[in-house]
Amino acid sequence: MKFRKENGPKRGLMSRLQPALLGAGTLLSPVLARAAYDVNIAQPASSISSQIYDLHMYILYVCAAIFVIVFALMFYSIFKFRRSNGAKPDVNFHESTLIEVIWTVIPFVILLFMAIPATKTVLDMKDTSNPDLTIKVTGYQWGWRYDYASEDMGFYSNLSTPWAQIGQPGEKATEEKGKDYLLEVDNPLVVPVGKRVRLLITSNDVIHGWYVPQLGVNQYGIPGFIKDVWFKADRVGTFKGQCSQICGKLHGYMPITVVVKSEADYAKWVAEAKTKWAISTPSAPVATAAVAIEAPEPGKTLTLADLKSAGEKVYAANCVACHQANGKGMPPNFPALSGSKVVLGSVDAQLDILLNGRPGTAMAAFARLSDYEIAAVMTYTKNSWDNSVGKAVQPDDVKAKRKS
Amino acid sequence: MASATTHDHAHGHGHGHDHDHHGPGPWTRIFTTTNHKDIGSMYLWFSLLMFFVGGAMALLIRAELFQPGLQVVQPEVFNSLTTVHALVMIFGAVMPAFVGFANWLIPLQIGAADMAFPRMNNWSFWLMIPATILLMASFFVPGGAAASGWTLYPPLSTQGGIGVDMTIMAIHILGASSIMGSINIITTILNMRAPGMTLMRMPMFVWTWLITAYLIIAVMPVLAGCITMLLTDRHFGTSFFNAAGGGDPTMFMHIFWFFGHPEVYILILPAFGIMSQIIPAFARKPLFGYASMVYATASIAILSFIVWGHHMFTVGMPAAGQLFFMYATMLIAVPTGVKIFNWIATMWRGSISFETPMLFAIGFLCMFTLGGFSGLVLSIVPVDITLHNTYYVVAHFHYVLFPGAIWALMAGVYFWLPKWTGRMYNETLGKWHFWLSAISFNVTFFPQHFLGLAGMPRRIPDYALQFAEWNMISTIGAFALGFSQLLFVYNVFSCIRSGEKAKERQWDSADSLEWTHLPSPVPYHTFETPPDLRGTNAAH
Amino acid sequence: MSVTTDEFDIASPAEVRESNAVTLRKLLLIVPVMLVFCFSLVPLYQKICEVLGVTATRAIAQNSQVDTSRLVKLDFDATNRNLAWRFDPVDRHVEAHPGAIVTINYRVTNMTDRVTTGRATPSFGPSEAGLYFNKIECFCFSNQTLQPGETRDMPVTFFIDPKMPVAIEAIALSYTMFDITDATKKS
Repeated sequence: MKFRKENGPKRGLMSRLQPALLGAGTLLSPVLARAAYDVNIAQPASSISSQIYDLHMYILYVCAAIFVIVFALMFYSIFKFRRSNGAKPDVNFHESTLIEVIWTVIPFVILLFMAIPATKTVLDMKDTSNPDLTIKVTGYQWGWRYDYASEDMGFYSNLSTPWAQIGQPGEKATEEKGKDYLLEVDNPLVVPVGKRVRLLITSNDVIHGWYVPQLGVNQYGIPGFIKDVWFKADRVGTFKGQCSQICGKLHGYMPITVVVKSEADYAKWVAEAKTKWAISTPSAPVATAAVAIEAPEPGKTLTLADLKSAGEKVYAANCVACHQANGKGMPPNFPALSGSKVVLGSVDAQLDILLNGRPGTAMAAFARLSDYEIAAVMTYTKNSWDNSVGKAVQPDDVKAKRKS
Repeated sequence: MASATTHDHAHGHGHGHDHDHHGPGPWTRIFTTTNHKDIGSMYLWFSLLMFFVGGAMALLIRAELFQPGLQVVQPEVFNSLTTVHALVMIFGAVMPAFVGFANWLIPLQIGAADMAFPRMNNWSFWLMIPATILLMASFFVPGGAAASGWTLYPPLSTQGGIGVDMTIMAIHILGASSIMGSINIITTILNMRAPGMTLMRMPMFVWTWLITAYLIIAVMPVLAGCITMLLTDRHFGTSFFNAAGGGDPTMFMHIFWFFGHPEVYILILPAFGIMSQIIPAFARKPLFGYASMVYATASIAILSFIVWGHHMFTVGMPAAGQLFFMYATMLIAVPTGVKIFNWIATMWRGSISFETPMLFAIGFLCMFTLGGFSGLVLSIVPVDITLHNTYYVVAHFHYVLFPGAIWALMAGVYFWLPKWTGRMYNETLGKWHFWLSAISFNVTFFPQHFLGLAGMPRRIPDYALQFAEWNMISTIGAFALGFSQLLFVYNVFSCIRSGEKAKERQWDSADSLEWTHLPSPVPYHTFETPPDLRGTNAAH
Repeated sequence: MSVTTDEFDIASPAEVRESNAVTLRKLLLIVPVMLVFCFSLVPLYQKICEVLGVTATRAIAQNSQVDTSRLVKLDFDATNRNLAWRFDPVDRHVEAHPGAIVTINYRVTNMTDRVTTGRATPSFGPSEAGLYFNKIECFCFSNQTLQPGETRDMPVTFFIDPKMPVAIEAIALSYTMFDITDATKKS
């Protein structure tokens, strides 16, 4: 059951028809001429996705054969027995147990031949042997987080296409759409080639789907549960995917990019990545996901510098996915904080948004954070990027607001 | 259709009286009528309206997808549109339309004077109106309409605003309505057949509806329970589907699809029935393998209860579960294949003519077979995993539901319009309608297979550039498809107003009771004394 | 369904009404039965998950022979969902012989200035590993209430059933910590 040549371009029947389709397309419209389209599953890049690819081609060929037979019969009878051709109905031909048995048994046998290879692949997909690398994938509204447990590091991965390329109803996009429009992320998932990578997929809010077709993975992340899947990339390259399960407003804007590197390159990348995204051990931890900064002694007045540096961590854990590290956000849905009237304005107004969220927008309420954390992150936003209010927000301010 | 016309003809055939013979004015009558023909017509008009409402949403969706980027609607509105489009088409268009056919035809085909519970019949229709208003109004409340896909998976559906509650209420009411309709249909079929109309002599349309009605009564309460749990999770602190309280979102999917898969067959089995009426009529030959058709329909219905897991191969179930659901799903191909082969054998050695109903029936056969193939592809777990939640799935279910359910309905309308109204539709226009629909349908949905194979997820308002060309073609097709349906509306109206007079037996080989025992148009009251069919060769 | 199928008798309208009422009652019975069935799916589902090992929250006290012929790799993970707690495994990676009793710790710190209650739910990868992962003691058996700023080490004591298939060489155990402060206040 090998439908792809092992060497040379891996192409199925449909892909081989592509030039013909393209030719027809060219005649149809100039728009089509520049198309580089795919009419089949993308080139597999893992052991499982190769099996899936072959399995799909096999099923497709079997279906095509049945299609030819069924449609030949159908159109033969339509053509041959048409009244305008003088056909007389044979009203007694309306019952035959033999024929009924035949067309019950034959499809059943064909199905058996489909089920056997499919079963083999299903079992291959459930490999519980020791993985070379384990990565935890957490879905967020609307982005991903990857934690490399064995490396003690983790980072967020968000859409990096600027909103200026997307536009919005009534407002044309102001920038030309790039080559990887909607498929590009700030920090891709990086894995070594030829290693069995186990993914533990979960979610922080609603159900998401981690879907990278070329690696043969499509798995829901379900809050409260981890689901394990694995892949072994068989070549170096960049593979794209998207969230497959509707997860709210920006479901279409949470792509996945997996960069497969050689072992040496991967090791180099890990060394570098650790400096940026290391997670300290629990004895002095920074939280894996939501928040975590050391709480100060109650009642103590804190300096702007202390609050700001603590706030940076809170910001990185809670805000950066939408408002971005540079505070520029992703307008219009995620406004910039740098230069924002709200951030530069009164403590009270900003606090109100942080504690209660902004209904009807993606801005959630963050009342779950401690007074100290809210004070810290507000101090940080008021004194970073282009903002320099020069004043700190104290935890007591937050406490007072909560009580009111 | 055409309640007015039918009604006018109640006291003398073929004269277009404009005034009413039945006491109450037309407005009072539509609220109080218990006549199965009136109610059938009301169902059909309602579903036609909802078909265009749902279609308008589909066109908004396709307009947004014409090009990459956001042009027409905001992403959250887009999500609401996909959600409500599905709900409207399923619960507002296809199901009521089939109930309309059932109301019109079942009493006529089994020789009964009316449905078993005429007043309940009236209620089950009128319940749909507040439900629809609730559903539509949810677009205008804060937070907008439900935007979680029609499957309403929590926790996304627990996030929404009051629009979600309105949707849940609407589904509750629509569910109650269809349960009432089904009880009526089963009772009518079981108890009110004319003497000599044994079960195995009933027309296939009646058979398929009998089985469908049982499916509805069995699964609608499950849906009701499921969305009730969702409602209490949302507002009353329960945690059926909330892991924090020991629940599991996956359980919602299991319960939902336990309803959802039989629901798919609820949408298609009556269509099989209509096909089994039309194909023999135009092949001028009895339906091939009547008994095996009955058994195939029943086995599809039974199998539908054990295949739900194939909607959730990507939740991460154990291999044993995946294999079980895969085998069960593949097995459905057998009885479905038997049906297709029986229809082909019905045409075999027939004498086929190609009036509009037959064109739609042949279109149904071709397209439904294609949809069956993509269904088979999707039943294979590993292939499904790479295609799950992509446009391939969208293409698949539109192939089985648009040419499946909708074309069967259109074919049925063309087929029975002469009987209902006593007038003929315009054959040329009908043929135009068919060919335009057939071409534009394929232009719309065939490219979506490619999109899905290439990995485009469904329910996204914006997409990567590699998907642009096929999406553009699909949108062009969708608008052509949408506007072609206006021909149908025009044809129906002009048929009712000024169509040529139809013959009593317009299709010479149609042999169910409405063609053999009743004039065209059928009188307002029929079979008040049941016809005695004992010893006759009453038809299938 | 008997009235009119009788080849020799035509039912009177009264008889039809009577039999319709009987059928109606029978069919109406299906509705509550299916509703009850729907709600009974909830405990049924939990039972099935338990049997399949998807959710393993029971405590099991007995032990059996230690299988020293193989070592199983265990990865511990924590997901902290909307909770201002720090919640991490102290021991992230452990290797254990099936049958041997192992204790690992999770460390949790309440970062807020409020008393907060959380509850952890376990989840396994692969899910069937839950069948063989026998917990003797686990913080997930009960709610955890922490004072402001409190840090606590929470142990999980377990052994892996030696009957576990050899094919399972690595198990990931992840706890998701949920904030149930509001829910416990209400009740």
